[in-house]
Amino acid sequence: MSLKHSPRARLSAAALAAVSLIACSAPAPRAERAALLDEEVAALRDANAAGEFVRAVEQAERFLAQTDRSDALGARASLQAALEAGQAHARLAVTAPYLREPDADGVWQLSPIAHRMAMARYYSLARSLARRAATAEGAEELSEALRGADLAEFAFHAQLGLEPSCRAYVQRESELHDPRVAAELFQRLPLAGLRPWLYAELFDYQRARDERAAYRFAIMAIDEAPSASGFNAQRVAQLERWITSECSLEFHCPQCDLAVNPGLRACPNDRTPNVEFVGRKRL
Amino acid sequence: MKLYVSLFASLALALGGACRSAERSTAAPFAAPFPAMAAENADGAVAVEARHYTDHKRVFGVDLPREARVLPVALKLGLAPGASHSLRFDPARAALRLYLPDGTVVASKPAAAIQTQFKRANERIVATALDARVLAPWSAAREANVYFDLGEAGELFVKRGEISRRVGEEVRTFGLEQALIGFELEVDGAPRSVFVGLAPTNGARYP
Repeated sequence: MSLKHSPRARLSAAALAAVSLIACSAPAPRAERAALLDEEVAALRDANAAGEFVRAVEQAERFLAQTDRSDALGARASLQAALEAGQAHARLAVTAPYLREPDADGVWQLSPIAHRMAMARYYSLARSLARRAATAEGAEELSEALRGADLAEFAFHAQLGLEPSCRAYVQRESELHDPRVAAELFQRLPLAGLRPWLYAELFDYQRARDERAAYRFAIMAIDEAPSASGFNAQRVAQLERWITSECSLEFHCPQCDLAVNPGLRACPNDRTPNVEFVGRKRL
Repeated sequence: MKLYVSLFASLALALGGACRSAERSTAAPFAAPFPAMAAENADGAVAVEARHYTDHKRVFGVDLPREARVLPVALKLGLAPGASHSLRFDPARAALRLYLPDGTVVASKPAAAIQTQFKRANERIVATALDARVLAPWSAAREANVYFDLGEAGELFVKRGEISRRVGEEVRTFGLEQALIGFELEVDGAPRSVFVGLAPTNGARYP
């Protein structure tokens, strides 16, 4: 069943009209307005969940244009709508881009990058609303979503090779310097297909600072590389080269002492994952 | 006396803290802006800088967005320090593009196809254009211009470092520092995409 004609979608259209009326008229009961805003945000979430990303973007645009963001309630709902719109563009970039860019022959091709630019714009809007939204009920739950938005944008910059902004972000986010903390966070958030880029960027940051941490990031990037389109063989080869010859440490299996083979995910003797291998000074 | 002052201060701090914790948290985690796309980038073998000179009229004699419907961008392209590769750039094969934050993409326009009413401006547009070349080391690299096609009047406008796009009744305006430039070149004969942010700035001068 198309969500376009679902009861929630119809209700959502009515809710949007009501929200805009409320925004323009006398102060409405707070609970009523909160319910209407929640309904509208839920409709956006439903559109994304159903894979109707274009509809999610269009609906979010209308919602953002019509919703009063001057109080915590409106700011929180707008923040959520902006996050949904950003996620819709991120998914469109991968599944069904419609924005276009010219190729070398002047032919306009589908452009995942244009969608990620739009994603970044919505995420930027969401961040700008965070302070005002912070006092609204349920705002605590948005921290995780905003964190995911930051990481999606970090991956976007990494894919484009924008070193200065990636470096500035990693410097600022010190908890990402720890491979275990970073891995746990990346697994928790919907970052499928982006993780190799994130790990590789964190490897770049740590390789001259902490080779043990860099090793773990490199292994995690290699392990997850098959899940990411565009994470090329050249980059994997660079990470493997660093592990086998450029790093001042060499890594061995803690069970059987076999030297790491980054082309394998684990020790061939006892299946200890490469990421758990321990480093010692290269002889 | 000093001890009493210190105790009082501690008590006040503790009470303040207790009152604050009773309220709903006003912290806004992860609200810091994501670092901007830098207008200077070194990505592997390629180093690049991109500027839009808001005072480019000093060089061309005309305001190019208004007179010729193009946005001039000065690109400095070179071999990154320490890199030893062969880099080749050809504007005809570079697929130069300007990405705006709303996902709009603006294509480039060849210098020879740009016409103003002024002969001197037309000459300068061509004379300062980035041409096909094997890229020099960064220390010897010089700025040269590329031009982005703003199309027919009415959709895209550029003014004082901002670009606006009309979408129906709505006009979206972005700082050019939020835009992204992308293009293709060859590194050791293999195609490679390069990206860099854009800095609107003053200081235009004829090379």
